[in-house]
Amino acid sequence: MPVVRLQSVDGEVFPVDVEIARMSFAIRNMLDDLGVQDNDAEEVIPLPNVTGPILRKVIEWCTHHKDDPPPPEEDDTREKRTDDIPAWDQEFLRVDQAVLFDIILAANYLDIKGLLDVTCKTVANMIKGKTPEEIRKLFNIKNDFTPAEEEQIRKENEWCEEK
Amino acid sequence: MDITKNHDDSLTCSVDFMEVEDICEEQEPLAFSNDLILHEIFQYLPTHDLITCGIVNKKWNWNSRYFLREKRNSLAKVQGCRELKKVNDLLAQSPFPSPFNGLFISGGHSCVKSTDPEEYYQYLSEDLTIFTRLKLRLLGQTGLECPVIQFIKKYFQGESPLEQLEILSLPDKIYSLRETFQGIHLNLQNLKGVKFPMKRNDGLIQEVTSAARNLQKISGPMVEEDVEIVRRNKQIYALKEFLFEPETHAQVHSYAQLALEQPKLQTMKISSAWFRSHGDLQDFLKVALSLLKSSSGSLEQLQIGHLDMILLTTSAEMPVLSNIRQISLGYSSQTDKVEKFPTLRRINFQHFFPNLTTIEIIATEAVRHTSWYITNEFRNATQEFVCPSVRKLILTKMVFPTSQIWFDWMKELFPNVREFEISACYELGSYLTSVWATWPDLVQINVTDLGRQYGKRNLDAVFCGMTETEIHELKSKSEEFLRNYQYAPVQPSLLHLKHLRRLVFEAQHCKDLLRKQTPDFLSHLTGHLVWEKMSTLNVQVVRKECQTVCQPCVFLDPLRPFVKFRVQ
Repeated sequence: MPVVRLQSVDGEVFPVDVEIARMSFAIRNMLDDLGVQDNDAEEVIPLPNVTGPILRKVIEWCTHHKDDPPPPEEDDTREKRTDDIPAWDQEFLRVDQAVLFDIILAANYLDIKGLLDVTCKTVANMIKGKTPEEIRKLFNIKNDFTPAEEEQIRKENEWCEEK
Repeated sequence: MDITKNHDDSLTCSVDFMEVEDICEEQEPLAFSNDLILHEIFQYLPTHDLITCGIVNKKWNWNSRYFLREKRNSLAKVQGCRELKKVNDLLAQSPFPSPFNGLFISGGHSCVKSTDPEEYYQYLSEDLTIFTRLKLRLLGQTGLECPVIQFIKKYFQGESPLEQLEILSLPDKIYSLRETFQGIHLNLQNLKGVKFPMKRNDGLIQEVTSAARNLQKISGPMVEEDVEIVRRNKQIYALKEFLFEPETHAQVHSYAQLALEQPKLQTMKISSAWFRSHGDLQDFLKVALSLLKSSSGSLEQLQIGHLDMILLTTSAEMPVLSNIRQISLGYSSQTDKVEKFPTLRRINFQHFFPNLTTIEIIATEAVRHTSWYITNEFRNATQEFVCPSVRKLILTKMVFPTSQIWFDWMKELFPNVREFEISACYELGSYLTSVWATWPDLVQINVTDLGRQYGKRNLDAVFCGMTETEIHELKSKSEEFLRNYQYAPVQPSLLHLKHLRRLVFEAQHCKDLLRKQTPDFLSHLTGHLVWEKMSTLNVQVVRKECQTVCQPCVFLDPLRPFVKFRVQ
């Protein structure tokens, strides 16, 4: 199996099967742009936005899902399900919140749709049913509204037809 | 700040309190600074959570409201002139993006005493007039001179920005837009989608489809005559909803013509009710299958009797409908009694509807001549199916007694139900007890259509899982006593639902309930003994069609300290 070498921002190098690496559209484009052939095993692809521990997690996820069919294009005007996260992924994402968000950033940067989907579903599940204050506390988000602004937002929300 | 090195080479940071705030405070995730990632997350949230996200901070407000407006087509619901003015003023002074892209104007309008309607609607800011969606439920004796009617009129003429129109009802004895907005020259050049009301209004479909030449989606309960109008306007391609319930053989042949035109329907009702007394289902079946085939890539909702469902799914030509999300299934338990097996379990929902998420069971009268639908092959089959994709179960107008065995069958068929809705049922308590014994992992329950004849019994015993005697004894106890009262429910209660996050009661406006003729549906006992102990549960009361003068809503009023009331 041809291999590429992925280098994290902290210098760690991971030899990865080309087919697995190509699950990332960003890496796929780099390989195509560089004209890298399948047998160019010495080629090193630098990934300046991903640390070694996170890249290891990303490769683990891609390896497990290498035979998955491509995710279908869905209508984004309706709420999508979040209760269909496979058991393996649930276990895989049982990590600190900081790691979860680093995986999201890496999935977004590397353009791995399946991984981005499953991590964002996990965060959506953390948000569902919570009050604004609970959400802020959960994610350490600073409330940058003045009390008057927050009151204005709440008043506007009252008019929303809830479907 | 002091930093010390530990024996395992790790560092310990000890700082005083003031420094903590400045230096070691945890930051919000970097991912949230990326709008694309926020959008990825928000696409998985239901509308009510998106509304909540708008209060978190300015960035979340901007992004969640973009989503509500552009992706969820959220509407501002206003009742009458005064409210229109209020929402207008609120938006005019707001520094934040609007969470709506349209208006849902509901109720009667006997309204603002404006001597000059022209002056009134000119006063309304541009925030309201740039909306592209309108949903209308005009009720009662709506005064046609009402400023709101004059305001809405602007959406139907001139350079109308209107792209989506849904009409739920027109005022009493008014049957068309031309009658509602007298003297109007209809111009709907930007209109892309229209949904017509349940109640047929002669002339409405004709005038809208003629004035809107760029329609891409026509929905509403369309019947034969309506289809003929749409055909005359050469808009069959836009037809998205159709009621296939022929009442003569000639009608079946007329519908066969529609099937030849291969409409791409999104919503369809199929009913062979007329044939039950006239026999010969073959032509009916053939046309139904043709319509399903032409719509196999588009059909999202299906309303059908369970015998028709058996008829179709036992046909070798039944297509797989992978876009179907919701099925409303007319059902009578009498069929199961006659056949002596649970007929629903022999329907392979998973195969024909692989992405089905919502199933509504609507109780119907028992059907005779079941042998026209149920073949010996179906009867003798031993395989029973499972449909794991269904997450939401709705029970509507349930009238037949259901034993726990029925619910056990349903659990085997739909094992992953997480959301439950019950609507217009007399024996509410018994169904609720069975449901939460059957699916303890529920995350949401909606009890709808309360008021009028439903919800007139007190259900404290059901929600608390106690006997009526226990409830009676506790009624005289103090709040403090109730808050600290520990007990073990003697039957499945709401407390069994450890994952329940949302409980919604929807009450219909009902004048006689205002006169306190009925017992409280739920009292403070449920509030103290159950809801106060379920810290992650959000309880809401939604009152439909109520006007502000209706407050309080008497039979739900004892819940006020424990729940959020909302008028819809």
